[in-house]
Amino acid sequence: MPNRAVYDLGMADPAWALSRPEDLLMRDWDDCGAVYDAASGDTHLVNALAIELLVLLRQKPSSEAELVRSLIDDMPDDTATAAAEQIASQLLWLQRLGLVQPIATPP
Amino acid sequence: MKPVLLTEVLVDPTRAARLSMAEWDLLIRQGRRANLLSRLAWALQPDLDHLPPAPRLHLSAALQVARRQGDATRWEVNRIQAALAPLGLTPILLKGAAYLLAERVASAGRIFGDVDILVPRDRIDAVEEALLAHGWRFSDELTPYDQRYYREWMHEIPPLGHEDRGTALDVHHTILPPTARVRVNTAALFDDTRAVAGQPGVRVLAPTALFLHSATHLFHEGELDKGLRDLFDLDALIRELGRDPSFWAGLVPQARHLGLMRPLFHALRYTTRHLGTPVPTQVLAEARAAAPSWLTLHLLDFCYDRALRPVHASCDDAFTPLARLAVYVRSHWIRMPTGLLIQHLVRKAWKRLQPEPKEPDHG
Amino acid sequence: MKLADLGAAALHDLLRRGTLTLHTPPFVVRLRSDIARVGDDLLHLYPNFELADEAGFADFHLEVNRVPGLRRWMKPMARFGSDGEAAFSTLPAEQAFHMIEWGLNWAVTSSAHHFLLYHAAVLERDGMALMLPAPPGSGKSTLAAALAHRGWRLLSDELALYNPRSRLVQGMARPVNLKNAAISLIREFAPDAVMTAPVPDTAKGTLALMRAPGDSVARVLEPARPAWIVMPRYVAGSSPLLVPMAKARMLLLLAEQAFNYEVHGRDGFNATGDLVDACSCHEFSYSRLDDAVHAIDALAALPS
Repeated sequence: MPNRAVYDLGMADPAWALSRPEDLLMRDWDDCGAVYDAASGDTHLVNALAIELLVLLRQKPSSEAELVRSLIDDMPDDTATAAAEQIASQLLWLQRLGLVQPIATPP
Repeated sequence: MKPVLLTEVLVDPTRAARLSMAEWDLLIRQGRRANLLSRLAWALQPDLDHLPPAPRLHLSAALQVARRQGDATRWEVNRIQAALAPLGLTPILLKGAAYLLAERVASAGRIFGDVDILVPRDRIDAVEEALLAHGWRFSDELTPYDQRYYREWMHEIPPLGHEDRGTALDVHHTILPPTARVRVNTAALFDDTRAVAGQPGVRVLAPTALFLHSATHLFHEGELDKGLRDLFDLDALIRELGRDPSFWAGLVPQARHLGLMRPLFHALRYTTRHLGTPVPTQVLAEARAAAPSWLTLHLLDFCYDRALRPVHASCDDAFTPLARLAVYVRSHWIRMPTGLLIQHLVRKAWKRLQPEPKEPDHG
Repeated sequence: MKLADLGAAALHDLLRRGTLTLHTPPFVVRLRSDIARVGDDLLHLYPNFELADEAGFADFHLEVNRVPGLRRWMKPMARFGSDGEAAFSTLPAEQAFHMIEWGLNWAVTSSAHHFLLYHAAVLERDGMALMLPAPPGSGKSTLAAALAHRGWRLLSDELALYNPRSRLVQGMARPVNLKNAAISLIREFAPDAVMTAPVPDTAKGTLALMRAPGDSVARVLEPARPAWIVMPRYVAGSSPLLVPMAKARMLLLLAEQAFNYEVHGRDGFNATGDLVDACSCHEFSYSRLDDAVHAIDALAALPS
């Protein structure tokens, strides 16, 4: 599913990155976690997938495709598609919270 | 008049080493009431650990709150510039937010409330629209009278609050209401602004303008619950900005250029008189040119010597209520023409007789 | 000298003069009131608290005074103030002591930032603390009052003073707020509970204050290590049901309900994360107090 917010910005195949990595604190336990954004002072409840995405993006900025590949090993096609859609909508949600943003892919 | 303990300790922090517990009790109370507790804590900071534990608790707490409020203000400025950047507009920060982002000493230990920004008059409608689109709202309590008061009579837009963060924002297009008797050369303010480190998209006034705006604001203000705090801001600005000789060289000419000689006179008079602020004699002499008549000055001294104290029983004498009332009336007189003034004061007095809103929160 | 040793006449005199100074560990509070009932309630609820130096340092300066003027033909009204500055709207004078209690909570939560101030009841057994965070309508005060009369030491009804450095929690052993049906429920459950005469027809219903029982006051300076965090919910007619609660959700709950979480910034997030990590976190629905106490006791008896 296309990432609409990203297309609005006119970027093709962007990388996603943490907006302010130095301001992000995370704690997680099994099925959900909590995230603190030191810039805004906001605390958010997030699900396990969001935690996984934030952890991966903290390691390095990644495209949606790379994130999907990292998180879905060897799933049958139909499950993989559903999972990819979930990943896309989680990224949008994290963007709305101001925690991640699309950046232009480095050459 | 008997001296104010808070002022004495702020001017000479070494006094703190010799205070009795009864004096500490009074000092903390005055500091809290004057909105200066965190400033006091900051001034005592190198020796905070050596202070008695009971007052130290309140000082550290105040400092903690001030620091966090500084962070919150920085975020607020970030959000404001994000909302206004698409308009190609760079708002000018005023007062507390300006001190903070320009990292002026005046921001140390300061409690921040509203953010004040200055934008060009011809962009104000676009600014209002952009802010409303990004979650700012006018207060529900604003009556149609209030809206007219702000828009038509004071030529301002009413104060805004953010619906999620609850923070307050005042948008100005001039630093005094256009109805004020002093005519400010606002265009000149926009001509000379400074960038702010780490936050492109906002600017602050040049040092002399920054000082003059704060001085003007204080001496047009009617309710001086933050008066002493504002006076200490001026003192801090003078001590910091005054290290650069070009500040003193430019101050009086800038005041003349902007039409703000009288507020400059007041600012220099009351900082030197109440706080012993170091001001070059030459500058004082030049500012004297804008002094009011001997009688007016005597009356203003009478009022401001009392009204610029903390609003606390320990700082009052028998004339303090009268002095505060006089300052209140004067501030309205100099902010608007007489006809409007009477209507407005009548309306405000009526509002005061209405029941108050707040209930204690017994969770 | 304890407050009870002062005698009613001397107490009322000091209150009128505004010099009555009381240790309410870890704070000192100076009180002023021209309302006789305030002195009576104070003696009833704080008899074993120590007096402090009238001329010494006080953390808070609270007053509740009669409001003069137009109301002579109506119920007498009172206003709460802090150091001469009025706060809150006026209320009927019979609620004066409740206003002091709310006012003291407000004063503590405005200044005591060396603590993380969670909105929770806290009780202790064997050095370990049970925290009951308090969404509205949870019945936490009723549950806390019941537990306090069944072998748990009451630290606090409202304010958990959590020290993030020591990771211990302390309370002030102040009265428990009870309202409406809870008042008679607790009277039945604990016939020896000491309470003020209920004040009817307030905005929150009928209110009463219950003195902290047993050795709560004597041991007020003893902190405890949080071991269990239980979010209570009174559900009429239900059997007691304790269900584990996701720690992340408990973190958010504590943060949202806390009085000064924002002041602590990153440290607040980290400390609250450590706290829920170290504790057993549950949601608890209950109706009968006997059953509820047994369920909580059973939880506390489990090996950690």
